[in-house]
Amino acid sequence: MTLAVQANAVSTQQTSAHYRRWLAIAQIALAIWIVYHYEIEAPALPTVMSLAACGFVISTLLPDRYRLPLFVVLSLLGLFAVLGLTDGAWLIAICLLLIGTCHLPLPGPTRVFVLVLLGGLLAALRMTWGSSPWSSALWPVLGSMCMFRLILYVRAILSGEKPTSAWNTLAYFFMLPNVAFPLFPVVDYKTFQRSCSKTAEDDIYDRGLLWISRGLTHLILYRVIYNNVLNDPAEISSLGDLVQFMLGTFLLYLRVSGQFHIAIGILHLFGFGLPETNKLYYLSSGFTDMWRRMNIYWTEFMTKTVFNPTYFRLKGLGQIKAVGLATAVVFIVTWFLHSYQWFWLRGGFPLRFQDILFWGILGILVHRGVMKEFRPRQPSKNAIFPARWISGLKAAATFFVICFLWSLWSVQSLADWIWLMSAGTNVDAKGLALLSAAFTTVFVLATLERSALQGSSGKWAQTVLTPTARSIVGLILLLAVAQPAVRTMLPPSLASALNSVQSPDVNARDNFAQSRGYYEQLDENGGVEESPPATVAEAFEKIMRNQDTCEWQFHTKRWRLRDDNLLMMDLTPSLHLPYPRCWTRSMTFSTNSWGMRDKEYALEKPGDTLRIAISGASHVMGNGVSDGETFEQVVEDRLQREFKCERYQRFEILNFGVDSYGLIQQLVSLEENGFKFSPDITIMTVRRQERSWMRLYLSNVASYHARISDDSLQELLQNAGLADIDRSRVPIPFQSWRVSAKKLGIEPAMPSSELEARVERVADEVINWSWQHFSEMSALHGALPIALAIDAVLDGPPVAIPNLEAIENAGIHAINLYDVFPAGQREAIRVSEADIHPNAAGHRIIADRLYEELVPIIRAKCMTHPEQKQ
Amino acid sequence: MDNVRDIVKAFIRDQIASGESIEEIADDTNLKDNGILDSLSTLKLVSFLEQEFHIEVQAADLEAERLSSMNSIVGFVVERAKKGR
Repeated sequence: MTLAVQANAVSTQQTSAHYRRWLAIAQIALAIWIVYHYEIEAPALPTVMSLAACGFVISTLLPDRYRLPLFVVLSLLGLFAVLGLTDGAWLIAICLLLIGTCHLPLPGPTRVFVLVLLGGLLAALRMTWGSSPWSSALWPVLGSMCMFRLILYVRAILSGEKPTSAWNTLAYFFMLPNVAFPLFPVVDYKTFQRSCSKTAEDDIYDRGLLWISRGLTHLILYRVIYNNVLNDPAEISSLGDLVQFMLGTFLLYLRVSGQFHIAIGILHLFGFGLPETNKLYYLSSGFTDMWRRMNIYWTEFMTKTVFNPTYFRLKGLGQIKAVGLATAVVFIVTWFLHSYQWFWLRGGFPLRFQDILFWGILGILVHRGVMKEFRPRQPSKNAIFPARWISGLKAAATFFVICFLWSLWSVQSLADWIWLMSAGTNVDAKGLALLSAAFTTVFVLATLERSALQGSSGKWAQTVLTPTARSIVGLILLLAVAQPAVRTMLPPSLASALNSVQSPDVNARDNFAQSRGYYEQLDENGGVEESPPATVAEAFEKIMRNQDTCEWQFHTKRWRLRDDNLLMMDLTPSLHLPYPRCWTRSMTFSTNSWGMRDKEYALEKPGDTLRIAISGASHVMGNGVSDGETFEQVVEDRLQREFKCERYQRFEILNFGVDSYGLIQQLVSLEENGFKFSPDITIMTVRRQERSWMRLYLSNVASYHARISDDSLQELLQNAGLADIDRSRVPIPFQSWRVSAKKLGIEPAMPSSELEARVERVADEVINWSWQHFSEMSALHGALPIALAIDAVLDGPPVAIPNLEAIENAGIHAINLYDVFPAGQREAIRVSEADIHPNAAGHRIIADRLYEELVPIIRAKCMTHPEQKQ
Repeated sequence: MDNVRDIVKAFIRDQIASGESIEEIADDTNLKDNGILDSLSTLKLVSFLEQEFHIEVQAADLEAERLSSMNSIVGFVVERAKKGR
């Protein structure tokens, strides 16, 4: 080869390298745009991705020897950027202490003992047995960096392994992605050391970018599933709903696989060529195959630390016994370590029966597969079906079994799961269609994968589908579907699904669970805890015992038990409470002698007065605002000041709002007190998720055997199987099973799923009954009934009033104020970042709109003759 | 030595590898990183080596990654077989 040709080849290589580097930078820029645009794993991931991008650009300019130190510096910066200076500094100090302990000049067992002691001390702090100078945000990150890596590191050190450099050790523990992805804790130390490339390698970068692109796709698909596929267990009543639930719960794993892909992808950008994990796990052709594909980092960890030592110790018993016992030990340890992982990441140490069952069944299935693999392979005979078809069938079967098992892992108890499964007996077209679609999809994809593995997918595919091409196509697709113009061209259902993934909002069910968590903790662990409250009084006592926050202590001071009717609780009359210091400004909370959060009113209405009685939940009562700042008071003052009418000289609005009051409590409150005050107008308020509130309330009514005086309501609940339900110790599904259990001396409890499903079936009927009853009672007392749609300061677009048809059918005038809080001002008109109730400014905004809505109604009242009833 | 290599290669080709061609992989390539060997197939290989060459493999040998590439497997077998004699 001549010098000219050699020089030409070198030049071409350099041009190609430059070109690939620029292409990589362009892909990272695209990925960052997507992360910011979709707010993926915000706020930590956008920070981590920005740091990774800057680091990658800098690393391409630096000599190779500086790449590892650069990665460590970026990782530490990531800690400070996400956790803040104090927590970041503490985390680094704790990690360094633990790493340093591994290198103490002491015998190995002593070092391990010191590590266990330190771990015990940290665990005590994690359980808040003592106070720590750092915030709780530190624990998941510390856990992800140390809970398993320390085990692997100390093992390697004690077996004589020498860290290649201090930078390598620091990079191993402080990996940049962990600050965003605590669920990425296990990386084998030796694999990590081996993976660290000494020189810049474009192939590693390309692979990393492909995985980042794939990870982003998984996380966006996860949102599609979470928002559009995952259904509420309470609404499962047919095979279709059940299949949808099973598919939805398993596909939620996309979040984990997406996080793993991105984490490993980021590591690749710094030259760590770690192995791929979660590779097409939904196409596994058996359970050993799945065990290999899903989180191979965990598989590797278990093999090294549990399987191999057990197997080699028991090898004398024979291969089959040794493999069987070693597999059993692996699954027992896996079950235990999942709880251990939960402890460091989330707090608490869950040990649930269905976890044991899940890991036990999975262990048996994997063991079967392992034993099969250990048998010598037979040469393939002339099979009737091609091998790829068999592989596709196996994949479809495995997929269905794992979905089935996963659903067991996702519910509260075994009894709940059996109840859910019973819906499968109601076979419907949706169920058959979903089963066929899932089967066909997995079968076809698995067959194609098998063809690709056998190299029969064609050379063109290998050429066109390079990592870079696939990564770019993936990123551009994510970019394209983010464009409103593109979405308008898609079918409405697809466009709606894509709109739902735009931001990381929780779905309606979880949103409700979060909002109810503040007030309604009564049914937590309802079906499984040792002694769930059996009466309203017991439940009330439980809620009053919970004094964990300053705000909560303040709320409980104003509540009074009302187990004599369906109110369950109300406000203590004649209270005057100064707001505690935990509120941002000085305020007072007072009630009048009737227990209204309002000023004093005479029972008898003066002749020239127009009275309005309004009921509702905390946002009507005025949680977070001072006396006199509630919207009803602002409207009352304005009517008095500005509204002129010959018939009425005075205007009074009586506030019957109480924390968490739903439709039935509002109704009972008006019946008990409201109508006594002879209101001309009665207002019941309706929240966006009134249906969910109703379900929760009915669950409580049934669980705590609340006293129901209305026969028609009692009958509705009786027909739904909600009267006199068992809520003892052992959750057992189906009434007939519970009857049999009682005969055997078992104290049965209706499982939560069954309770929720029964409540779900009757919720609409009860809501309709409530509005009809409200209309009738108002008519009886000569009052005009109004349904006011108003809620706390929630995000999201305005929605229709729930059960509007029932409201209109009952002849009730509806006012929709769901859009009252302008989107751009919502943060400013909330009580605080953590409290979504409207503050004084928010109440003024409601008052302005409500005044405008009420004026024509009151004007019409002015025109009617005093004797004329509504 | 070449004989050992051929026997091991044949075993991996017929009993372990699926799709990947062992013939195309260099002798010093890490078989685990390349997706040919994993924890289970390593045990299958261990069992085969023990029976075929009358040697004993310990957990520590796997820990020390003595079976990570074709070259290391062959080296390990030869060394253990010599010790056994």
